[in-house]
Amino acid sequence: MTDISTRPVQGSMVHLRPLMASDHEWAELFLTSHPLHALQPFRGQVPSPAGLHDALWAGVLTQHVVVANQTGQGCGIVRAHGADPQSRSVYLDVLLRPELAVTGFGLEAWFLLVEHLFEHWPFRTLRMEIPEFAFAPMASADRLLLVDEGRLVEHVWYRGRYWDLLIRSLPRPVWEERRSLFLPRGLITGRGSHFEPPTHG
Amino acid sequence: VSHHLGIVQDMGTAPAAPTLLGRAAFLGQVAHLTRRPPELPGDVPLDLLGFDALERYLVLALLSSSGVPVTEMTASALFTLDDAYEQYALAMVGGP
Repeated sequence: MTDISTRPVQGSMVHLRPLMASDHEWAELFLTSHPLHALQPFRGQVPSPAGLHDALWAGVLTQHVVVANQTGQGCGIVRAHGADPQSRSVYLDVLLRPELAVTGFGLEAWFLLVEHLFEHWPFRTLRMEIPEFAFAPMASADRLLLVDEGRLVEHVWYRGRYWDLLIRSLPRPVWEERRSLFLPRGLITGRGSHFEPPTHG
Repeated sequence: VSHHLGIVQDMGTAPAAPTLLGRAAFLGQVAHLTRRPPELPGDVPLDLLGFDALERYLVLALLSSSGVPVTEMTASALFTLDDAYEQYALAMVGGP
Protein backbone atom coordinates (compact mmCIF):
# COMPACT_ATOMS: atom_id res chain seq x y z
CA MET A 1 0.00 0.00 0.00
CA THR A 2 1.32 3.41 -0.92
CA ASP A 3 1.94 5.61 2.06
CA ILE A 4 -0.37 8.60 1.99
CA SER A 5 2.55 10.97 2.45
CA THR A 6 3.93 9.90 -0.92
CA ARG A 7 0.74 10.60 -2.86
CA PRO A 8 1.29 13.68 -4.98
CA VAL A 9 -2.20 13.76 -6.47
CA GLN A 10 -4.91 12.38 -4.23
CA GLY A 11 -8.51 11.66 -5.15
CA SER A 12 -11.32 9.91 -3.35
CA MET A 13 -11.18 6.68 -5.33
CA VAL A 14 -7.68 6.74 -6.77
CA HIS A 15 -4.41 8.58 -6.46
CA LEU A 16 -1.71 9.26 -8.98
CA ARG A 17 1.93 8.55 -8.30
CA PRO A 18 4.85 9.09 -10.66
CA LEU A 19 5.75 6.28 -13.03
CA MET A 20 9.16 5.15 -11.81
CA ALA A 21 11.96 3.04 -13.22
CA SER A 22 10.75 0.08 -11.17
CA ASP A 23 7.39 0.31 -12.99
CA HIS A 24 8.80 -0.02 -16.49
CA GLU A 25 8.29 -3.76 -16.91
CA TRP A 26 4.76 -3.53 -15.52
CA ALA A 27 4.07 -0.55 -17.79
CA GLU A 28 5.23 -2.50 -20.84
CA LEU A 29 3.00 -5.45 -19.97
CA PHE A 30 0.08 -3.14 -19.25
CA LEU A 31 0.44 -1.03 -22.38
CA THR A 32 0.78 -4.07 -24.62
CA SER A 33 -2.35 -5.74 -23.20
CA HIS A 34 -5.58 -5.89 -25.15
CA PRO A 35 -7.05 -3.45 -26.15
CA LEU A 36 -4.63 -0.78 -24.90
CA HIS A 37 -1.92 -2.00 -27.25
CA ALA A 38 -3.75 -0.32 -30.13
CA LEU A 39 -3.40 3.10 -28.48
CA GLN A 40 -0.59 5.49 -27.66
CA PRO A 41 2.25 5.15 -26.92
CA PHE A 42 2.98 1.79 -28.57
CA ARG A 43 0.26 1.52 -31.26
CA GLY A 44 0.81 -2.22 -31.64
CA GLN A 45 4.57 -2.15 -31.37
CA VAL A 46 6.61 -3.88 -28.71
CA PRO A 47 9.66 -1.78 -27.95
CA SER A 48 12.99 -3.47 -27.65
CA PRO A 49 14.33 -3.87 -24.12
CA ALA A 50 17.00 -1.30 -24.91
CA GLY A 51 14.42 1.11 -26.31
CA LEU A 52 11.78 0.71 -23.62
CA HIS A 53 12.81 3.80 -21.67
CA ASP A 54 12.66 6.04 -24.71
CA ALA A 55 9.40 4.47 -25.86
CA LEU A 56 7.80 5.24 -22.53
CA TRP A 57 9.21 8.72 -22.05
CA ALA A 58 9.66 10.32 -25.49
CA GLY A 59 8.00 13.73 -25.39
CA VAL A 60 6.43 13.08 -21.99
CA LEU A 61 5.91 15.97 -19.60
CA THR A 62 4.43 13.98 -16.73
CA GLN A 63 3.34 10.36 -16.37
CA HIS A 64 1.56 8.72 -13.45
CA VAL A 65 0.37 5.32 -12.37
CA VAL A 66 -3.31 5.35 -11.36
CA VAL A 67 -3.54 3.50 -8.04
CA ALA A 68 -6.75 2.39 -6.30
CA ASN A 69 -6.80 3.91 -2.82
CA GLN A 70 -8.20 0.86 -1.10
CA THR A 71 -6.33 -1.99 -2.74
CA GLY A 72 -3.15 -0.27 -3.86
CA GLN A 73 -3.66 -1.93 -7.23
CA GLY A 74 -2.34 -0.25 -10.35
CA CYS A 75 -5.39 0.57 -12.48
CA GLY A 76 -3.79 2.39 -15.35
CA ILE A 77 -1.54 5.16 -16.57
CA VAL A 78 -2.28 8.81 -17.25
CA ARG A 79 0.23 10.92 -19.11
CA ALA A 80 0.80 14.33 -20.62
CA HIS A 81 3.01 14.66 -23.66
CA GLY A 82 3.73 16.86 -26.62
CA ALA A 83 3.75 20.09 -24.62
CA ASP A 84 3.88 23.12 -26.91
CA PRO A 85 5.17 26.28 -25.21
CA GLN A 86 3.99 28.52 -28.07
CA SER A 87 0.36 27.50 -27.98
CA ARG A 88 0.62 26.58 -24.28
CA SER A 89 -1.08 23.27 -24.88
CA VAL A 90 -0.34 19.65 -24.08
CA TYR A 91 -1.82 16.26 -24.99
CA LEU A 92 -3.36 13.91 -22.45
CA ASP A 93 -3.69 10.13 -22.52
CA VAL A 94 -5.84 8.13 -20.11
CA LEU A 95 -5.11 4.42 -20.27
CA LEU A 96 -7.14 2.26 -17.92
CA ARG A 97 -7.72 -1.42 -17.33
CA PRO A 98 -10.63 -2.28 -19.67
CA GLU A 99 -12.87 -3.56 -16.89
CA LEU A 100 -12.60 -0.16 -15.21
CA ALA A 101 -13.26 1.85 -18.34
CA VAL A 102 -16.82 2.77 -17.38
CA THR A 103 -16.29 3.26 -13.66
CA GLY A 104 -15.44 6.39 -11.79
CA PHE A 105 -11.79 5.38 -11.50
CA GLY A 106 -10.75 6.52 -14.95
CA LEU A 107 -12.80 9.69 -14.81
CA GLU A 108 -11.34 10.70 -11.47
CA ALA A 109 -7.82 9.91 -12.69
CA TRP A 110 -8.46 12.04 -15.75
CA PHE A 111 -9.69 14.98 -13.66
CA LEU A 112 -6.78 14.64 -11.22
CA LEU A 113 -4.32 14.88 -14.11
CA VAL A 114 -6.17 17.88 -15.54
CA GLU A 115 -6.01 19.60 -12.15
CA HIS A 116 -2.32 18.77 -11.80
CA LEU A 117 -1.47 20.20 -15.22
CA PHE A 118 -3.41 23.43 -14.85
CA GLU A 119 -2.00 23.90 -11.36
CA HIS A 120 1.65 23.47 -12.27
CA TRP A 121 1.88 24.97 -15.77
CA PRO A 122 0.26 27.98 -17.43
CA PHE A 123 -1.37 25.88 -20.13
CA ARG A 124 -4.20 27.50 -22.03
CA THR A 125 -5.72 24.22 -23.13
CA LEU A 126 -5.33 20.46 -22.81
CA ARG A 127 -5.90 18.23 -25.83
CA MET A 128 -6.95 14.63 -26.24
CA GLU A 129 -6.93 12.39 -29.29
CA ILE A 130 -9.58 9.75 -28.75
CA PRO A 131 -10.32 6.84 -31.10
CA GLU A 132 -14.04 6.88 -31.79
CA PHE A 133 -14.44 3.36 -30.42
CA ALA A 134 -13.31 4.63 -27.00
CA PHE A 135 -15.47 7.75 -26.89
CA ALA A 136 -18.94 6.31 -26.20
CA PRO A 137 -18.61 6.09 -22.37
CA MET A 138 -17.80 9.78 -22.23
CA ALA A 139 -19.71 11.19 -25.19
CA SER A 140 -21.50 13.66 -22.94
CA ALA A 141 -18.14 15.37 -22.45
CA ASP A 142 -18.86 17.19 -25.70
CA ARG A 143 -21.78 18.85 -23.94
CA LEU A 144 -20.24 19.20 -20.50
CA LEU A 145 -16.55 19.87 -20.76
CA LEU A 146 -14.73 19.43 -24.05
CA VAL A 147 -14.47 21.46 -27.23
CA ASP A 148 -14.81 19.57 -30.50
CA GLU A 149 -11.77 20.44 -32.59
CA GLY A 150 -12.44 18.01 -35.37
CA ARG A 151 -11.46 14.53 -36.41
CA LEU A 152 -8.92 12.70 -38.47
CA VAL A 153 -11.07 10.51 -40.68
CA GLU A 154 -10.23 6.80 -40.72
CA HIS A 155 -6.94 7.41 -38.97
CA VAL A 156 -6.70 4.48 -36.55
CA TRP A 157 -6.51 0.87 -37.74
CA TYR A 158 -7.94 -1.46 -35.12
CA ARG A 159 -9.60 -4.87 -35.28
CA GLY A 160 -9.90 -5.04 -39.01
CA ARG A 161 -11.14 -1.57 -39.84
CA TYR A 162 -10.26 2.10 -39.76
CA TRP A 163 -11.71 4.36 -37.08
CA ASP A 164 -11.83 8.14 -36.86
CA LEU A 165 -9.57 9.88 -34.36
CA LEU A 166 -11.51 12.53 -32.46
CA ILE A 167 -9.68 15.67 -31.35
CA ARG A 168 -10.99 17.38 -28.24
CA SER A 169 -9.69 20.16 -26.04
CA LEU A 170 -10.34 21.37 -22.52
CA PRO A 171 -9.68 25.12 -22.21
CA ARG A 172 -8.55 26.44 -18.84
CA PRO A 173 -11.59 28.74 -18.34
CA VAL A 174 -13.99 25.82 -18.85
CA TRP A 175 -12.16 23.74 -16.26
CA GLU A 176 -12.00 26.60 -13.78
CA GLU A 177 -15.74 27.06 -14.13
CA ARG A 178 -16.64 23.39 -13.71
CA ARG A 179 -13.86 21.81 -11.66
CA SER A 180 -15.80 21.84 -8.41
CA LEU A 181 -18.45 19.66 -10.06
CA PHE A 182 -16.02 17.06 -11.28
CA LEU A 183 -13.69 17.00 -8.28
CA PRO A 184 -16.01 17.56 -5.32
CA ARG A 185 -14.61 17.18 -1.87
CA GLY A 186 -15.83 14.16 0.01
CA LEU A 187 -16.80 11.96 -2.93
CA ILE A 188 -16.98 8.37 -1.80
CA THR A 189 -16.04 8.79 1.79
CA GLY A 190 -19.14 7.20 3.25
CA ARG A 191 -19.08 4.76 6.10
CA GLY A 192 -18.02 1.34 4.95
CA SER A 193 -16.56 2.59 1.72
CA HIS A 194 -13.99 0.31 0.17
CA PHE A 195 -12.45 3.39 -1.36
CA GLU A 196 -11.51 5.06 1.87
CA PRO A 197 -7.80 5.78 2.01
CA PRO A 198 -5.97 3.73 4.60
CA THR A 199 -5.17 5.46 7.82
CA HIS A 200 -1.62 5.60 8.98
CA GLY A 201 -0.86 5.90 12.57
CA VAL B 1 -35.43 -3.67 -11.11
CA SER B 2 -36.20 -0.08 -11.87
CA HIS B 3 -33.51 1.95 -13.51
CA HIS B 4 -35.13 5.25 -12.85
CA LEU B 5 -33.91 7.99 -10.63
CA GLY B 6 -37.37 8.02 -9.17
CA ILE B 7 -35.98 6.17 -6.19
CA VAL B 8 -34.34 9.35 -5.03
CA GLN B 9 -37.71 10.61 -3.88
CA ASP B 10 -37.09 8.59 -0.75
CA MET B 11 -33.74 10.15 -0.08
CA GLY B 12 -35.41 13.25 1.25
CA THR B 13 -36.52 11.27 4.25
CA ALA B 14 -33.30 9.33 4.72
CA PRO B 15 -31.45 10.33 7.87
CA ALA B 16 -28.22 10.44 5.93
CA ALA B 17 -29.51 13.02 3.49
CA PRO B 18 -31.08 15.80 5.49
CA THR B 19 -30.12 18.49 3.01
CA LEU B 20 -31.91 17.04 0.02
CA LEU B 21 -34.99 18.94 -0.94
CA GLY B 22 -36.69 16.01 -2.56
CA ARG B 23 -37.05 14.30 -5.84
CA ALA B 24 -38.08 17.23 -8.03
CA ALA B 25 -35.24 19.40 -6.78
CA PHE B 26 -32.78 16.58 -7.19
CA LEU B 27 -33.88 15.84 -10.73
CA GLY B 28 -33.68 19.51 -11.51
CA GLN B 29 -30.11 19.60 -10.29
CA VAL B 30 -29.22 16.51 -12.31
CA ALA B 31 -30.70 18.08 -15.42
CA HIS B 32 -28.81 21.29 -14.72
CA LEU B 33 -25.47 19.60 -14.07
CA THR B 34 -25.66 17.31 -17.04
CA ARG B 35 -27.01 20.11 -19.22
CA ARG B 36 -29.80 17.91 -20.37
CA PRO B 37 -33.14 19.43 -21.22
CA PRO B 38 -35.32 18.78 -18.19
CA GLU B 39 -37.70 15.89 -18.66
CA LEU B 40 -39.95 17.59 -16.20
CA PRO B 41 -42.67 18.81 -15.69
CA GLY B 42 -44.56 16.04 -14.14
CA ASP B 43 -43.16 12.88 -12.75
CA VAL B 44 -41.28 11.70 -15.78
CA PRO B 45 -38.10 10.21 -14.34
CA LEU B 46 -34.66 10.72 -15.74
CA ASP B 47 -33.49 7.38 -17.03
CA LEU B 48 -29.98 6.48 -15.94
CA LEU B 49 -29.75 3.94 -18.73
CA GLY B 50 -29.44 6.88 -21.08
CA PHE B 51 -26.56 8.34 -19.10
CA ASP B 52 -23.00 7.68 -20.06
CA ALA B 53 -20.22 7.17 -17.51
CA LEU B 54 -19.41 10.86 -17.25
CA GLU B 55 -23.02 11.79 -16.51
CA ARG B 56 -23.26 9.04 -13.89
CA TYR B 57 -20.06 10.36 -12.34
CA LEU B 58 -21.77 13.74 -12.03
CA VAL B 59 -24.80 12.15 -10.37
CA LEU B 60 -22.44 10.45 -7.93
CA ALA B 61 -20.75 13.76 -7.19
CA LEU B 62 -24.11 15.42 -6.68
CA LEU B 63 -25.22 12.72 -4.27
CA SER B 64 -22.01 13.17 -2.35
CA SER B 65 -22.21 16.93 -2.17
CA SER B 66 -25.86 16.63 -1.11
CA GLY B 67 -24.81 14.74 1.99
CA VAL B 68 -25.60 11.21 0.87
CA PRO B 69 -22.89 8.80 2.03
CA VAL B 70 -21.66 7.24 -1.19
CA THR B 71 -19.97 3.89 -0.83
CA GLU B 72 -18.26 1.49 -3.18
CA MET B 73 -21.50 -0.47 -3.50
CA THR B 74 -23.56 2.51 -4.50
CA ALA B 75 -20.89 3.81 -6.82
CA SER B 76 -20.47 0.46 -8.50
CA ALA B 77 -24.21 0.04 -8.84
CA LEU B 78 -24.58 3.49 -10.31
CA PHE B 79 -21.98 2.85 -12.97
CA THR B 80 -22.93 -0.68 -13.94
CA LEU B 81 -26.72 -0.54 -13.53
CA ASP B 82 -26.65 -4.26 -12.95
CA ASP B 83 -28.49 -6.24 -10.32
CA ALA B 84 -26.66 -4.30 -7.64
CA TYR B 85 -28.78 -1.32 -8.61
CA GLU B 86 -31.50 -2.65 -6.36
CA GLN B 87 -29.03 -2.56 -3.49
CA TYR B 88 -28.17 0.95 -4.53
CA ALA B 89 -31.79 1.92 -4.25
CA LEU B 90 -32.02 0.33 -0.82
CA ALA B 91 -28.86 2.07 0.28
CA MET B 92 -30.23 5.39 -0.85
CA VAL B 93 -33.20 5.05 1.46
CA GLY B 94 -31.03 4.12 4.38
CA GLY B 95 -30.99 0.34 4.40
CA PRO B 96 -30.51 -2.49 4.75
